[in-house]
Amino acid sequence: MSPGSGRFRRALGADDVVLGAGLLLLAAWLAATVLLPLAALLAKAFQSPAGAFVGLDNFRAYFRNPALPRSIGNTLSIGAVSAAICVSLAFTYAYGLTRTCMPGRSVFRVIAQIPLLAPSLLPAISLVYLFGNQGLARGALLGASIYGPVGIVMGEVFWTFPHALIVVTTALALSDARLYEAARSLGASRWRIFWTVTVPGARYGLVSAFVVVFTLVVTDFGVPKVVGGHFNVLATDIYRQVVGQQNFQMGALVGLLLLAPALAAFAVDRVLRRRQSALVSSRTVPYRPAPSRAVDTLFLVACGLVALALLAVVAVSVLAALARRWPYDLTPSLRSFRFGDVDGGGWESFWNSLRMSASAAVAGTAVVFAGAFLVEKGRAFPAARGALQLLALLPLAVPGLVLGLGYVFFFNAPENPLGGIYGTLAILVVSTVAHFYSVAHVTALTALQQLDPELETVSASLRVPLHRTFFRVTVPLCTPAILDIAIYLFVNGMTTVSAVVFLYAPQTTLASVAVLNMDDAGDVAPAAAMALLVFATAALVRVLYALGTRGHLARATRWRA
Amino acid sequence: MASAAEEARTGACELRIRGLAKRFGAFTALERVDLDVAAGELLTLLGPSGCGKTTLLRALAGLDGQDEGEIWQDGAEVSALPVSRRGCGIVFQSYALFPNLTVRENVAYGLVSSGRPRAESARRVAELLELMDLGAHAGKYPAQLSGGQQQRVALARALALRPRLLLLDEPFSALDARVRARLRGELRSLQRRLGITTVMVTHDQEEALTTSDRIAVMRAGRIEQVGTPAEIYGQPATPFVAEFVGRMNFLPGEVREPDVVEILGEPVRLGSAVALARGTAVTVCVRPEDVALRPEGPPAANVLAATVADVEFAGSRSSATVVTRGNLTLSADLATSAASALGLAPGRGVEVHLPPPRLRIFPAATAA
Repeated sequence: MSPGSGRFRRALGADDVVLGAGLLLLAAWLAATVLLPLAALLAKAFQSPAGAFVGLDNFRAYFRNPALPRSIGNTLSIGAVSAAICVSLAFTYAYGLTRTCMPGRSVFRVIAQIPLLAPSLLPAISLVYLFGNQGLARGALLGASIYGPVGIVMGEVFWTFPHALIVVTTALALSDARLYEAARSLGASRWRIFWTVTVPGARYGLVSAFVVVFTLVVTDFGVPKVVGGHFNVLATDIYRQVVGQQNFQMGALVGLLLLAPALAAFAVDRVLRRRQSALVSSRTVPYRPAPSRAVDTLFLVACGLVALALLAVVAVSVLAALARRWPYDLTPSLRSFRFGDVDGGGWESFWNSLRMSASAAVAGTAVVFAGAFLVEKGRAFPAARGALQLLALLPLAVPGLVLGLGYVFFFNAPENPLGGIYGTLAILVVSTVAHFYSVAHVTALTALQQLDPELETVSASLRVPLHRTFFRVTVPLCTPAILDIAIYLFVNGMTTVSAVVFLYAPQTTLASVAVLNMDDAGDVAPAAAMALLVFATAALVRVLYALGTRGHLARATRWRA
Repeated sequence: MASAAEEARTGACELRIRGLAKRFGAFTALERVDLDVAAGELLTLLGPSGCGKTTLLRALAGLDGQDEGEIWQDGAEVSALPVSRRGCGIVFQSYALFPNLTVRENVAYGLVSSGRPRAESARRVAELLELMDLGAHAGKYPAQLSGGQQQRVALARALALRPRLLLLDEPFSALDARVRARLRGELRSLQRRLGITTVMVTHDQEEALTTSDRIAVMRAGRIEQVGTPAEIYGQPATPFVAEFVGRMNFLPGEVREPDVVEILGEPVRLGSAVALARGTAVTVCVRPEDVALRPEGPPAANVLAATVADVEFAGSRSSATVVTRGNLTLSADLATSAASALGLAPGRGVEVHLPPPRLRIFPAATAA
């Protein structure tokens, strides 16, 4: 800008040009991988199979159908019941972890993470083995069938438990010890303190956990697919409309119906989290529980039962996969791992999964971290950065099935120049990165926000270009967060079914999808074996990471005094 | 050591700021600020938080653009240049040291990118480490250093490229009181030896008074007064400066003659005549250390009768709060020995003497 204009602006430096270009690339990426596929899905819901605009015709057809609308009520009630049960259990468990001195708390913490490592298909398969028509413990259901709402709720509670636990544990861990001291000094009983201090302090966390679980359950596809039986939910309806009946318009419409509660839950959760953080001041004194034999024993028993249930679900799949013919012939055998004998893609799908997850971890981490850096550390273009921040959080509210279906419409359109990736491993990588973008983005953002905001300013004043400081200082400082993101993307890439189930091609089948298809074809033991393989891989990566953190990471970050 | 300082000399530039203005939405952070900084001078921007001092410093650095106005360095306009082309060294409040780089790597950070020969960079780093007395710590990481050492690393890093202007943003606020006093002295002597033009931001008046060649006191986006520390303290130009720098008693009065005001009906003579009409309401300012307390005696000029309300003991000095007849409250500072000689205690009657040369008068409307 010329000095004569009377209104000065700082001239754009080289760094601003780099920043602007980076923001443009990020915007293009998020548009192509999130926004445009969703727009394509939205458009599809208002089109006839020939592609003409038909207004609300598809909606009329949907609600006139005697069976389809029933899924809405089914989905919402399954979500609510599962969330209520899961949050109650998670609260008990979290209370034991944070507010009592029961022994083995660190072991309990680890056990609670187990469901994160498995596709949601695994607990469902285990439930079939346990309570199915030939199940070990089918009597325990008192005549009820595992195929239907009972099975779905049980599977979902297992699969969502760690998600609820993280939220509730955080809420409980944040409360202020001085409130308890004040209450005790006023002569309140333990029971009264629980209801007047503990529960109100954690209430936002409880509601937030409820919302998180509700969203996961409503949008999950794996559990109802395996144990749903004739009990239809929106997620299985989408799958059936698209894969079974090739009715893409109706699939898109159901996808929109599924997007609505997910978006609403997302909005509620954002508001709640802001309130929760407002409860905590920097002067808060952390609560330290005092030992109490009665309370500690009570919670040891309660948490022990929950942990046992979690372990049992995994153990059943392990045994079923390793037995010659569960439950009749229990001699150990690797027969179930001969995937070549059944449909589903064989061992190739496992190697595909490894390749896909590793690519998603590497490429996704680079995109996510660079993107978060651009959004957080730039000084120029505040409006663009704000908009991108919102866009980066959007995938959190988009169910995987909806995103995957959007990809079908967007990338498979003949006029799309990006259509070349359709049917390749690349589209699976891209969809996985997009599907899990938000959590990874927030992780990167949190790490970046902990750095001194003036590091970039200092470099600029020393005439060092921004990209040099990024690689020399920012990336090394954020190494732990970067590895966390990579692991997160890898594990989710291994376990995810929903977004990729519409996108795989015969030569790019994935392990998690193979589990689904083998189970569908009645090859339950190989399905369990493949699910186990996914679980073991994810667990191995986590363990290696934990070990590596001790050695290499400690050396790489020795500047931490 | 003198030779190291000679080697490290950076040069100095003259700074001219004209009509600088900056708004954030409805909030005016800077309102047409004019300021000149002489070559080699240490000028402090002093003011309460939100007065615009940091905004001004960031505009000088080229970090945030101004909305209006011009900045000139040695006769060249730099108003629109980004930070990388201003040639200034910056030390931030947090120091912003790169935590994963050693002291040596931090100091060398700008040199490596500048494209000069490796040997020359190494020589410059060694020179700066010697100058800052950091040689023994060259291989350590910032987290292994004390606060004072971290500050010296930040300074060395800022000086590495031989900037002609040094900008310091609250450089002492992260240190505890004893270290702060020592480092203030060190910074001052280093700045004199290097002869580098320096602008420092602080909200600490003691820091400003002890360190600066000149002080610019800021308030609500404007500069209230620019002057040497002695001028700012001894002849505050506005009631705001009087109150913000040091402590001050404010007494309501009315002009009776050009060199006499009336306080509570008592005539009080001033050191010199004021150009205010008779009957003008004024505020009379007097520093606590200039208020003299005496035993009760016969009526005299510039004396108000008062009662001791409270005595606060602060080591060698004590501070008395007295209430005059007519309910004016004054603070008076005196040596503790003098306080005990007077037998100061709550309830005791005393005389308050206001020495004419120490009184400053402002029209009442402008009172802070």
